[in-house]
Amino acid sequence: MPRRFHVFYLAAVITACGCPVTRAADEDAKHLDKCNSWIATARMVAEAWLDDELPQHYAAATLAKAAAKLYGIPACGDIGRLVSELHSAVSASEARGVRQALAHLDAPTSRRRTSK
Amino acid sequence: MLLARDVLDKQLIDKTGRRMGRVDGIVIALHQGRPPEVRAIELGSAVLGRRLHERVGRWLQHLAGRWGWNGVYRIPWRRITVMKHEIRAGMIAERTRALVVERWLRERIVGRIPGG
Amino acid sequence: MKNKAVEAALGIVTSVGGFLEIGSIATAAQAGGQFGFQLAWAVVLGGVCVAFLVEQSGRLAAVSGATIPDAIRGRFGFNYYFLLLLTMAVVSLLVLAAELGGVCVALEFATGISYRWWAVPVALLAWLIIWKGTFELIEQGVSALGLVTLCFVVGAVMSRPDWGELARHLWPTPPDRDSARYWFIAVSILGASITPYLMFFYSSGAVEDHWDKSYLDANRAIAAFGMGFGTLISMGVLVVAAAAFEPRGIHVEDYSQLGLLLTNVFGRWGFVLVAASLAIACLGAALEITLEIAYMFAQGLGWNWSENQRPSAEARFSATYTIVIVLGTLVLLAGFDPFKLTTVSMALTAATLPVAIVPFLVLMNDRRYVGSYTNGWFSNAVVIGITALAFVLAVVTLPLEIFGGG
Repeated sequence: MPRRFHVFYLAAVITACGCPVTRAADEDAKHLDKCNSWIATARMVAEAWLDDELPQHYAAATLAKAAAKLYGIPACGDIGRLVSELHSAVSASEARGVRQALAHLDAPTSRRRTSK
Repeated sequence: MLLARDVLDKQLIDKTGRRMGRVDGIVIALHQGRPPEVRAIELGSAVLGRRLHERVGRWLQHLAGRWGWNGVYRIPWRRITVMKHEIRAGMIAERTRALVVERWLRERIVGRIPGG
Repeated sequence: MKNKAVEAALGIVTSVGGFLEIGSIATAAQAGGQFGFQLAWAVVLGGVCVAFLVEQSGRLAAVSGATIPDAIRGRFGFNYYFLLLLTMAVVSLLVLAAELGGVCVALEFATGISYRWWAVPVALLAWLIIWKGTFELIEQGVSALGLVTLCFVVGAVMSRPDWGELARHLWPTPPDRDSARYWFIAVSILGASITPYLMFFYSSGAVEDHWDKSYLDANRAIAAFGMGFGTLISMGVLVVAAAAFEPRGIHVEDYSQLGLLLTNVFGRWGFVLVAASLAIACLGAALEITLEIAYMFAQGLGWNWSENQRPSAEARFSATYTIVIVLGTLVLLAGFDPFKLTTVSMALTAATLPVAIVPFLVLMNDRRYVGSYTNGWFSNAVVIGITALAFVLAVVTLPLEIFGGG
């Protein structure tokens, strides 16, 4: 039994050490993907809420989460604020506010690409 | 009949058909000039512990003595019948020390919860 | 003969209804969202492997009258069994926490109350069902309700996927980007389908129902169609996720995103169906896993363990499953992100597969247990091949995922 353990751990350590070191460009690409993913999620939630397809508490909670995630990604803080707007509008059941915030979301796409 | 293959670790069933435990150990007496003689089978946490490591066995034996559960319970070989997939013991499990923890749990805890 | 046909049909329905759980939902949703249909092959491979394993589990139980834990301890001795028990118990506990989490998330969807508040009530409900219920109630009752998960198959069809595109990816294809993520999701999918607890539970059920050799045909039917249709449901989740998320570039990494799976297709009902599916599927899985961990202790140590007896007739078994539920709940409340807990526990399942599968395969080829019904070379090959793949992938990708920051 001990011998089997050793082989397993050895294999695990070897593969862990063999991981390629992530490059800065890869990190940026990952951040961008994540950023876009949560923006798209927020948009999908808001649009579905406008169509009365999602309950309010779920839409609000998910938008809050999306905003929080975006705040956590470098260079996506601005977008995070826009999603917070969405969250506030949904929480207040303001359909017009939501539509406005969605329009803001669509506008500044150029801003995201300025990150290194 | 090979002891390790046909007796050790097999399910033990008592006279009434109740599951009594598993054969955790076998006691063999070695004699000079005579073939080894199977004396008994053993059940219990200390027996299992000993199979993992000497010290574990002794520690569990000590705890069993302190707290009253079954550390080692021996059944003489003459009271055992070896069947195809299980071992039969010519006794009633409920009356033996093998089920001391089961009885304690039943009386003190499980039996006291509604629906038990 | 007619009786067996009814049993087979029941078994199939039970397997289909009970197939989906948080692991298959989360991993299929991730796969569809990030890679479209590219990982469809992983769902297929997982399904094929588990179908073979389930059939073999049933065959072992029917021919030898022994459950898998029973047979493994009997054949390999306590020391190996101890390793198996420890490994399976730890991994299963993590999966249990994820399943309980799934039910809680569904309740959060329904009520808006955070999933953490639901942990204790859900655990209590699960415990009560096992305490008072019979094997039949759990197997058939919960699984029948589980048929609601067929909504994913309907949703998949209604999303009008490019069937040709899907077909092209039923065979393993390398990714066009994000290799590390691709293979990690692949291994999570495999770990979500090929679950030892399912096999062990199935063999325990077969022994509870007193299966004998006359059940072998029914067993084959249940394995093939039950696992087959179940796999279709997992595929349905993948297709639905691909339709809803991939065009938008949504990468599923949080359970809240799961609520959006069916809104495109079913409108308001979409959300309700996802919540209902999650709640029922995860509850069923939680019950199975709890029982299975308790079975492993009970069967391995020789206690009484029937689900059809009063708890006081099997006090150690009852105490064990109670403790298991408590521990599972504690893990859930410990604060891990439920989604990450799910995907990692699925990958861990894949990584520890050999511990259960290797002795199982030895048993399936041992005449002393299965008589003349040993595995054919093909059955052995399929199981060995897919398990080896899962294991290798897991060992390679798990460190990357945990340390590389997925």
